Amino acid sequence: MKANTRYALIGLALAIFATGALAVDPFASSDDLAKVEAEERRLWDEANEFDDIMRRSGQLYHDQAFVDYLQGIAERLYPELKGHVRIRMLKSPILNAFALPNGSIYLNQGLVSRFQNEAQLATVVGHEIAHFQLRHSYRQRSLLKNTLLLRAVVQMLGVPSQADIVFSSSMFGYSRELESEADELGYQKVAAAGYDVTETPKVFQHLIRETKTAEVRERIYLFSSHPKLQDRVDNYKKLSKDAPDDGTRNTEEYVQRIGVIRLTNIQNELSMGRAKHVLLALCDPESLDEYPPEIHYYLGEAYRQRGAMGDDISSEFAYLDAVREAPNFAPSYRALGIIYLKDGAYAEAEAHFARYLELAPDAADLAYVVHYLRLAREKQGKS
Amino acid sequence: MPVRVLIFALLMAVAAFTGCALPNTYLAKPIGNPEPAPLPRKILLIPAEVNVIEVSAGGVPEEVEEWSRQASQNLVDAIRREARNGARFEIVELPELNPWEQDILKTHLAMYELVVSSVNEYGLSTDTVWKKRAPELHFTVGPGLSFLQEKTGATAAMFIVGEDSVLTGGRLLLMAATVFMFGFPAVPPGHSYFAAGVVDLGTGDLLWHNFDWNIARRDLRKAEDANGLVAEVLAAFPASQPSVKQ
Amino acid sequence: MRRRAFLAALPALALAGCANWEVIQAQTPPYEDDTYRIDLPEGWVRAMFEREAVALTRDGHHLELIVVQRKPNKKAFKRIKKEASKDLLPSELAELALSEQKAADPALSTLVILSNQPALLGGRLGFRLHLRFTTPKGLPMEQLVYGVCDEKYFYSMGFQAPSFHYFPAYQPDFERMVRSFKLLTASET
Repeated sequence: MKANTRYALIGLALAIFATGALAVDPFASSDDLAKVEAEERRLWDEANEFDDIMRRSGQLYHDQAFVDYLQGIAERLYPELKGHVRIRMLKSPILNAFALPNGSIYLNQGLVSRFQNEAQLATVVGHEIAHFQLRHSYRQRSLLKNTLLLRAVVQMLGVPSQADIVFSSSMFGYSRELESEADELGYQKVAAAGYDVTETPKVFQHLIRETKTAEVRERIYLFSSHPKLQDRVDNYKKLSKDAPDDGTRNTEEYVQRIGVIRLTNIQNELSMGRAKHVLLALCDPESLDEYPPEIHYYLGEAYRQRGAMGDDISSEFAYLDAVREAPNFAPSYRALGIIYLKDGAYAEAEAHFARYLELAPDAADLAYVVHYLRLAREKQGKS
Repeated sequence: MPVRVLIFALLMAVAAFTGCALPNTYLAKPIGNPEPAPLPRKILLIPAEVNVIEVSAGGVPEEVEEWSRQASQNLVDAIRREARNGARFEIVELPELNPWEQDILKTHLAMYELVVSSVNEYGLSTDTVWKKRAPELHFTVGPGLSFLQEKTGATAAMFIVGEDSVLTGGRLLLMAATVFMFGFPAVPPGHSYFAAGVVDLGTGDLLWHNFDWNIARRDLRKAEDANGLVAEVLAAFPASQPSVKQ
Repeated sequence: MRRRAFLAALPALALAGCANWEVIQAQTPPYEDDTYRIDLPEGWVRAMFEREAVALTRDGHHLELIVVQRKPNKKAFKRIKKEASKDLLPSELAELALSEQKAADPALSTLVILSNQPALLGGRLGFRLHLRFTTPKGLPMEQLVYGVCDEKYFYSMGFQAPSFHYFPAYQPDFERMVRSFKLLTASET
C-alpha cells in the first residue's frame, strides 16, 4: 500500500476518533430526564431489557422491607431524582455494584454485607447514582465506540500506537476521570444528607483488604486511566480531610437490618468455596456479636473449607462454641459428628449424629447423616 | 478512485462474503410415519421478538428499540397479509394476558429459542449421522402453553424470532476501505437471522420451522422488505400441502 | 458439567463430515477404559470428538447433555483449588463438586439444590445431586450429578436438560446408565 494512502486512512480514523468525545450536562431534575435524546434513549432501552432479564433470572433479593430501606437511602441522597432511580440487590457474594444508564442501580449482597454502618453504604449508593446523574454510561459509550474504531484501523494497518492501551483501560469500569467525578459528586451528596463523611474512605479500604485476601491482582497499566483502589481511598481521604465526624452513621439500625443478609451471604460464600472471604468477614471477634449465635458454626465451616494448618482444630472449637451458644442449631452437631467419625471417636460421633436427627428430622441431607450414624454404630460393634 | 467503483467493489465483496440465501425448513413427521401430518389451520400469532442492532464503525452493537418495534410490527403485519392472501392458515390474535401468563409465555419463548438452536444445528445438519437421525428427533417446548389453547381456541401457535444488524455509515465506509486495501471486507458486516416456527399448543411439539440466516440483504424497518422475507420463508409453509419433502 | 468444552468443539467438528458422531445401538458395547466401564444409553448419540469425557445427546446438546468423566484426584476441583480423596465422606465430596460448579459459572448463582443424597456407585459410596438453575431468559434447567472417588480418580456422571419435557423424559435413561457404572480396579465400600 502506498504511504500516502495509509496516512490518509489513519488521518480519517483519528478524525472520527477525535470528534467522538462527548460533553453533556448532568441530569439536574426530572425534567432533564424527559429530554433525553434518541441515542441515549437506546442505552436506556438496553438497560430496561437487562432489568427485565434480572427480574426473571431469580437473582434479585426479594425482601421488600430491605429493598425499601435501600431506596430510602437513595432518595435521601438524591431527592431531585426521586422516582427515577431504582435500587436493587443481587444475591451474589461478589463485591460489586453498578449503575445502568436508565437509573437502575444494582448492589451485590456481598458488598452490602461488608459495611459497618449506613454511612458507608450511602457512600457506595451515592457514588453509583452519581454515575447515572452525570450520564457516564452515555459519555463513555461514545468514547468507546470511537476507540474501537481507532483500534480496528490501526490493527489493520499495523501502525504501532498507544490506542490499544487506551482501549484496554477504558474497558474495565469507568475511566479515572469519570470515577473521580462520581467520587466527588457522591461525597457531596453524602455530606448534604447529613452522613458522617469520615466513613467514606473506609468503603475502599474494605475492598483493598478483600482483593488481597482473594489474591486478585489489580491490573496495572502503563498508561492506565482506571484509578487503583488505593487512589480511591486517598481521594476520599482528601475530600473528607478536616471534615467533622459528627454526621449520622445509623449503625444500630443498619446492623439490625443487615443481620439476616450477612448470614445469607456467608452461606452463599461457603457454598461457592469462598472460605477466605468468610474468615475475613468474621476474623474480628467483636464482629461476631453482630451476628446470630449460630455464626460460630459458619466460622467453623470456613476453617474446615480453608483447610490450612491448624484449621482442623480451629473448626472444632468453633463448632463447640456454636453448640454452647446455639444449642438447638442442628448443623453444629452434624459437623462435630463428622470430625469424631473421622477421628475414630465413634461413640461421640453417634451421640452427635443422633442429636442432629432429633433437632432436624426433615433435614435435606438426612440420608447422609443416617448413613454416618449407622457407620458409627457398626464401628462400635452395635447393630 | 470514483465513488461508484468503490461502491461496486463493496457490494461484490459483501455478496461474496455473505453467500446466497438458503432458507432452511424443518417439518415434523410423526415417528414411524413417512408423511407429515397437515398443520392446523387456525394459528395463534405470538408477537415477534426481533431485535434490530446498529453496528457502529468500531463494531459496537447497540439495539435500537424503535427499530426493533418497527421491524417486529412489519413482520407481524406481513404474516397477517400472507394469511389473508393465501389459503394456508388463519391467524388468531393473542388476547390480553395477565402478568403470570405473560411470564409463562416469555419462558416458553426462551424454550423455543433453545429448541430452534437444536433444530438448526442438528435437525437440519448435513452431517450424515444427524441427517439419518432427523426423523427421530423430538423438538418440543413442552405442554405449558396449553392454557392458550383454552383461551383462544387455536391449537397451534406461530413464534417469530430474529435479529437484524444495521451498519452505520462509518462501518460501511470501513468495509469499503478494507475491500480497497485487501480485496475483501476484513470486518464482518453483522449478524442477521430470522426464524418462524409453528408449535402445537397442546403438546408443545414443533410442527414446522423455517429460518433464514442471511437476511442482511433486507432492511426489516421497511415494510416491503419484511413482506418479501415473510413471503419467502412462508413459501415453504405446508398447510395446504399434505406431503412435503424435508 | 463440562458443557463449555463440548460447545467449543462442536461448531468446528459437527459439520466436518468425518466420523464425529456415533449412534448408540442395542449392540453397541459399553464404554470402557482402564479404570471403569459404563453402558451407553440406546438411542443416544455420542460425540466422538470429545476426548476428555464421554459426551452424549439425543436431540442436540442444548436439549439434553450427558457427560461422564474421570479426573485425577489432585485435579478434581481446579477452580476452587481443592483435591478429591477417597477419605472424603460423600457429603464432603458433594460439597466440593457443588462449589466447583458455582465457581465455574457465575450464572449458576441461581442454583437450587433439589436433593443431595449418598449414592452407591460402582460399589463405592458417592453422592447424587439434583439441581435446578434458571437461564438469563428465565428458562428453568435441571442437572443430575453423581460423583464418587477411589484411590486415584474422581468420577462424575452428569445429565442436564431443560425442565420442560426433556429432563423428566430422559432422566430414566441417565439413571439406568449410572446404575451400570463399574469400577474395574479393586474397590471397597
